[in-house]
Amino acid sequence: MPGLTVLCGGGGVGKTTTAAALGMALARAGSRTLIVTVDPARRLADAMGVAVGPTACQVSLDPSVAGRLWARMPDVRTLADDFIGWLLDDEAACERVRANLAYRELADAIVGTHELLTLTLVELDLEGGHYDHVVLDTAPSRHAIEFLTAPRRLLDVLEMRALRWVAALASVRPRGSGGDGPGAVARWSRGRVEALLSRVVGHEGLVSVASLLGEVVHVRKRWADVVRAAYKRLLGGGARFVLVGAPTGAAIDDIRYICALLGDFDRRPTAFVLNRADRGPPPAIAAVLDRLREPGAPLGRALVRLREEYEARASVAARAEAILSREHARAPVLRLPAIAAREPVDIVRALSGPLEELVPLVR
Amino acid sequence: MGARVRTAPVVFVTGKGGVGKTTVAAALALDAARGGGRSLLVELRDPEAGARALGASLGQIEHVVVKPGDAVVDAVAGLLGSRVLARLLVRHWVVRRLVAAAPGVSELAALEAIRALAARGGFERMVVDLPSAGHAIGWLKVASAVARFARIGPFHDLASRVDELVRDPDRSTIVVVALPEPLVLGETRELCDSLEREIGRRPEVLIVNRVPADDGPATRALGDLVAADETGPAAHQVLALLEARAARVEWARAALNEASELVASRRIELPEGATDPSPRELVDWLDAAVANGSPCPA
Repeated sequence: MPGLTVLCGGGGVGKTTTAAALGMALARAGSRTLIVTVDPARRLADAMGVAVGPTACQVSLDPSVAGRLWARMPDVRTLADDFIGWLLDDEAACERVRANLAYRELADAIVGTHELLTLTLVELDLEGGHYDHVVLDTAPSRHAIEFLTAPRRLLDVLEMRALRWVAALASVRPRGSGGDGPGAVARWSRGRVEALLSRVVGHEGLVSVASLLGEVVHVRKRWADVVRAAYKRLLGGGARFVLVGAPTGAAIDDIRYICALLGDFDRRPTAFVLNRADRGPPPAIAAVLDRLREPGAPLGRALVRLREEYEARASVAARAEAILSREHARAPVLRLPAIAAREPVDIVRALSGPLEELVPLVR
Repeated sequence: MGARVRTAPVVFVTGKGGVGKTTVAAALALDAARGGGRSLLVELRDPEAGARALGASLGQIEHVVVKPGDAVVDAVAGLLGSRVLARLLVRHWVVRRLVAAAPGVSELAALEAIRALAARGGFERMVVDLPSAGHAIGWLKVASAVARFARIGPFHDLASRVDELVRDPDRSTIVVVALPEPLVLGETRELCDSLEREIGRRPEVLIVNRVPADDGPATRALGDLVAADETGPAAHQVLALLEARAARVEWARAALNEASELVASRRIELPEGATDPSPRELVDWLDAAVANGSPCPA
């Protein structure tokens, strides 16, 4: 059974870099690993040192992972078109959907589509059997809720009764064209809601949404099955959640926010990764400061500032570690050092070593 | 108080995640309040982030959280002219599911709530803490997409009204927050370009947070000591750290120079502190940067 590791955390904490490094550690341990990013940010390409596109491409960061590491950065428009192609076998139906007003104008404008489609795609990737493990890099924390609830929300619409109801709207006549049909109470209430919807959205918009959903009525099961599978994979106990933070107050608040959210779904974090979480300034700084003849000169001031930076980060990291260990005794906290490298690829390589510690926990 | 940042009445703040966007948004709200005006901070979804950042300063400004569910009912009520009908419609078992599955609806409704608040007047400045870069584009373009989708009728009119607010530099200022790192500035460039493409304008203000101090003289001084072999082996290790830092400063400067044409009007640089600065500290820095005429291309 292939594994799924989901990385969550606030913005700027090094999620994508951690995802890349963890993927590298998994590949080195023998797993065929795919790294997928949902974050609309473009960091994965830089972290991987290659052009990462919407389809999976092989990454050769290092001889130790040769042939076992792939990366993929889906963009929402291509995703939607590919997805429609997969969902509807019939070419004519695909054409109709692509020409649909609601689909054309809204598919990539609507926030949340990206998460949902990526999740579906990850499910298909995992079912395809090409990979032993998928590492999923998510968008920053405030969107975690959308990500976790997207499958459920879509399943609610894909439910047969609801879908039929909407699809039937395609036959709604413009207001004022008369003829509301038989007068049964249900018909009457339905007619009222339709009329209200039509007033809000406009007749044309309503018909385009209705016909879009009408196209999928007969492939509803296929869509619902993959969404249900994705939902089960994400929240049914198979997925591992690794929460990434950095030594800032906001990043720790973000981690706790996501923990609470996972708790609502009865899930628990598997591990915490704190980036740039050195345990203190290197002793060499104090050694040099002690020997300076003029501590007030620019050099002395710069060293004091450097030491203060290390100390500030170390104390926030220590506090974070204490809080997380207390609140989640079973999930280890892995503190990673700041890496003074210029190229993102070098940082990924440097971090992949210590991240090997997580491999047995997520595999 | 000294010089203040000049903006239109509504300020949208965005930027890549982790750049200090929420603190900057809170600081901009505080900045207007210090000048004596009524100032409002609008938060979406994560109700506590800005309030948390403001801490004790929260009392100086007004603060509102726009909840998506309420915003949808309000917007629909405006269209139908009745809250009762709006509730009836939004709570209908199918419509409820549609609204939940298509979250663009709640984004548009939240923006409409902001527009309505602004139209009522009374605030010198309303600062909206938008989501981070990629999602912010979605937020700012959803109105024009919906206006195209619903070609006529009240829904179209609502979307167009929101779209006008989002497009008009006299009514809204877009502030983008970044860090002086090539990757972050690269993504900021993409954000600015796609805003120009999608809503026909570039952000007016770029705030570059955490600009590192130049340690060049210190690095050279240590280099001299190491060359004279005066401080022992520890100096080599520290020199490597200072050199990495100096490289970062140089790298930041180069990235900033390339970023000079990113925004329509001005760039403000804020210094790097050892820990997370509070909005109060940030306002002082902002005022100082504006008073000193912080780099302002063209």
